[in-house]
Amino acid sequence: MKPNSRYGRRAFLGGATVLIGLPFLETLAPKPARGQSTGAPKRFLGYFYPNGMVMDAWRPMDVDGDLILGPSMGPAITFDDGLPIAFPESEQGPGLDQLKEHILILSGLQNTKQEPGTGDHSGGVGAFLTNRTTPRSSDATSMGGPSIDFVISQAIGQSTRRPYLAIAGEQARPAGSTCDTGFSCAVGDHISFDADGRNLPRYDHPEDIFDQLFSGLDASSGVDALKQRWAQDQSVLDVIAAEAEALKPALSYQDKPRLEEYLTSVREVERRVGNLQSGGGGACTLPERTTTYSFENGRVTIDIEHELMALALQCDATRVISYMWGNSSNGRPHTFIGAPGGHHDISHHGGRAENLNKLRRIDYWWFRRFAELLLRLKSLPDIDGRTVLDNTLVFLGTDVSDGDEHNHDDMPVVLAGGGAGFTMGRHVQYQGNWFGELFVAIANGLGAPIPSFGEKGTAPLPGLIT
Amino acid sequence: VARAASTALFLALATGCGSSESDPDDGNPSSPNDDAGAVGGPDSGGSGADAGADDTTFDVGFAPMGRLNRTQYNNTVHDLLGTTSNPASRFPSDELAMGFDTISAVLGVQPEHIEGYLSAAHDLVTEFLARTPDDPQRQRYITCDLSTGATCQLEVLRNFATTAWRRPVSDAELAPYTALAATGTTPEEGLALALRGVLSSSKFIFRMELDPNIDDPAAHDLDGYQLASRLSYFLWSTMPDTLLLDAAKSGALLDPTTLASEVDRMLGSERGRTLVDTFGAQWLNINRMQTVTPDQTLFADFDEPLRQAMIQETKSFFTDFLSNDLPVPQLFTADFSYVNARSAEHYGIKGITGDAMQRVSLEGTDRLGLLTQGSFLVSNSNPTRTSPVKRGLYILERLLCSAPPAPPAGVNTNIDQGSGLEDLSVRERLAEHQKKGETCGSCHKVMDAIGLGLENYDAIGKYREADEYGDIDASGELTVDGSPVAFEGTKDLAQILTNDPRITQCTVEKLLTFGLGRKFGAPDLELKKALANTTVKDGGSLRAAIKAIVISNVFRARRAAAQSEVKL
Repeated sequence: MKPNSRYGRRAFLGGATVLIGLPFLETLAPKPARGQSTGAPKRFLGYFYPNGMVMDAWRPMDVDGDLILGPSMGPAITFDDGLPIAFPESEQGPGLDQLKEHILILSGLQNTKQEPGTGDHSGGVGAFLTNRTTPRSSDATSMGGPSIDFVISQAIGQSTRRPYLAIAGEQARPAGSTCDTGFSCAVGDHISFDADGRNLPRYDHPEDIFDQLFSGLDASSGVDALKQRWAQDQSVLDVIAAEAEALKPALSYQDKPRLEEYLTSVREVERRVGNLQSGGGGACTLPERTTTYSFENGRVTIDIEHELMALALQCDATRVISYMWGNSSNGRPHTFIGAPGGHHDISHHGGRAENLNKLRRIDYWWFRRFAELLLRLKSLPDIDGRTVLDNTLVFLGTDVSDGDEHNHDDMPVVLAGGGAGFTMGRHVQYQGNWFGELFVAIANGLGAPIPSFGEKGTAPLPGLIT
Repeated sequence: VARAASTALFLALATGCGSSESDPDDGNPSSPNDDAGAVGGPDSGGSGADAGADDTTFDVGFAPMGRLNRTQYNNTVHDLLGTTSNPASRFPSDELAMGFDTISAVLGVQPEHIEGYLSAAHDLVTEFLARTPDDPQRQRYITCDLSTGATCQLEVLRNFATTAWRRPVSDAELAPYTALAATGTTPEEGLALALRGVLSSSKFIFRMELDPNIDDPAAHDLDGYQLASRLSYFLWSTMPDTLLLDAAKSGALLDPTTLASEVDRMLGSERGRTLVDTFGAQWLNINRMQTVTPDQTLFADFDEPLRQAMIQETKSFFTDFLSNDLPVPQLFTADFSYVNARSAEHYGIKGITGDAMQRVSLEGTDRLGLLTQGSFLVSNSNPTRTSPVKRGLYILERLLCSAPPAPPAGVNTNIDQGSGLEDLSVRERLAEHQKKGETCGSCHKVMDAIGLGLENYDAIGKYREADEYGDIDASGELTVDGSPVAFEGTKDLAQILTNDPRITQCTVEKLLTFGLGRKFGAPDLELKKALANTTVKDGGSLRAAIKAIVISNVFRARRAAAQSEVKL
């Protein structure tokens, strides 16, 4: 389904300037990125796909030559794989071949893992955007450092409604569950972490994601009421910040850091509310707030969330998103495309054709949805007259490479969009370069001038710009 | 490690397989790898048997001040404002440590929490002020005519903040809030703003316990209000009620006898069962059952009503122990459980009708105690088969506080598809896995033996005499007091476990951890032993353990950490 805004499509017909008259949208308008006098802001989307991929179906069938996509990413195909249920027409969709000039395939990269070892899912999740070794302790609560989306948000996300947003297409595992042998869910079920390595709150329900990005922006609430609310919040924040500041000397050494943390967060929220109050002018589409979905219906969930992400980026509600389409080691079935059974269970394919055929369907199906997301970003005009895709860098990857091998080298990586200024439309093969190197290059390309990142990102990955 | 007088079981585990769970970064004095010392049980001999209770020799320890977790926040605003809304359900989820959501070291405050507090405060205050003037909930705080202005605003704010902050509040503390109230265009609007502030304040969000001198790390008794809050959040996961606050005000609560009788009152009250859904559900990991996914092709029998019946069974079972003061070791051997028609059919218990859970005798059935309940058996299985390892680990970790370390990095733990062991029975596969060297064998020897003793119950908790590899062999051997003791099946195993003194000491440790929100490790060994002894002496029930804890100085006192003790 495609949620349609009551305002958006109609409004777009007239172009950006027409929208100035819609007061609720003023608050959302993109402003020129920091350090740039003109132009559209840069955006980053870190996209996580769980349980690895069928590598021979993913791998491009070329080397540094013409880009010929493998069957998972390529044009629509008809499955003749012997599975009892046909792949339904309604689940078909475009391949990345339609976006060739916007994508850059990277193979041969690796990410950190517990050494020595065969690797693991939770380890790959914690490391996904951090390039750090996920601590193996059931009580671990810190990755020891930030994820790249957080670092990028520090540089380019500070003037928006939300500096970053971590969202997911599946419910977080409930308290008390284990994420992988010996790993805590606090690090093994998250891809985004703050400067201290603590996970960023992860929003799973579409209505919560909407509220984080757009709440209060429905025209029905009235812009005056909204502005009044923000002003009131500011005055409350002033009082509680001053109170906490005054309390500090009285608190013992074990309690002080907690109050400091509270104060830091209060000030960050003051800053965010300040951003809300100083909206500019521009245009974007407001999505619908959807509550009718179920996580069991993967198609509905992914369509809603992709639309929320695309419009959040266009509306400049945030410039940095991390998205976990699924939890690693998850049990989500894909019965509707003839691939019943838990995704993770099947990913331990054991080389058996039945499992591999199911996995190929799942990867293929999901890449249709991913291509639709990219096409949607391409369809959205940005304030500089280009498209949102042109100003965004999408990083797609997984926790492990092959689901059965659990290896963390030869990882499947796809970049999309023009945000980082990379030379797209190519496949580049690496020999064991690290995710961390790629993240340095991405951050630099998006306007976050960091020299190194994570455990292995000692320099920017070469070969991304020709 | 003093083990002489104890009935230390599983010496193989104690000597060859230490716990390696690392500390959360909580600034408490425990160090990693310290649990190896905790393997012995409480002293059963006379020396020191009377230690505990009001003994004041134990280090009271410290932890960062606790933030209200989501359950506590929701319950608190229910009591404070009479609302039925659950605003905290939309706050960021609380991290667990050591299995509990009350561990203050990991209950951080991120910007998204503050946003949640602001938004919740706005909605709660709006709802509150929409109450009509004759609504008792409104009258509880609005005790004067608001239209008279600042004087009444101050009175209302004092009423409200005293309750919300769970202690007396000075006018000086309220000054910034009255100033905030003065900015409203009407007295009521101003009050609304100030009330939102009170609910967003660090004094509401945290359970702040101030020390008289932060540079003196000596222990000092809590005041009545601090003690009332500790007790209330421990047992009820909410703010103290009027009776507790009265006892705090009069100082009566500081008397151990009054304190103990408050425990009885609280456990006997309507809210007394809160512990089932907080402590009990987390300790026994009952919520894990909500998300387990037995393979539907292999286990078509497993359906939603069965899942829910299994969850309710263990909750009712725990409630029974709590309400009827059953000795905790009987968790292993209890000859009763709770079933409805659906789960009774699954368990092979005849004559049960209806959806309601009912207490049944297990005499003459294949079942006894917690370990034959679906919630344990199913949530500690893999989707396609039982996992003796997970079952054994659960018992060691949650019931005996003797968790083995996580498997060493680099060890392939797969014994299923692709391992080359597919054609062997689970018992044979585990035996092969144990051969992978001393590091694996030392821990698995105990874990697997316990788990294999439960093999008569399949991955959805159904009784079976055979699996696809042949007749079930549920026999095994454990080392008890240095001698091998053979067992034949679950009932024998349960007998060995129920006699292990670690179950009581472990219960004490889990309650301490949950109730005080920090790790109780090796430095607290003597404390745990003493409290376990008191518990056993007083009947071995959860109530006895709770009272022993609450009366101990660890609960009734606190200390400021020395600056050098806190990792910054």
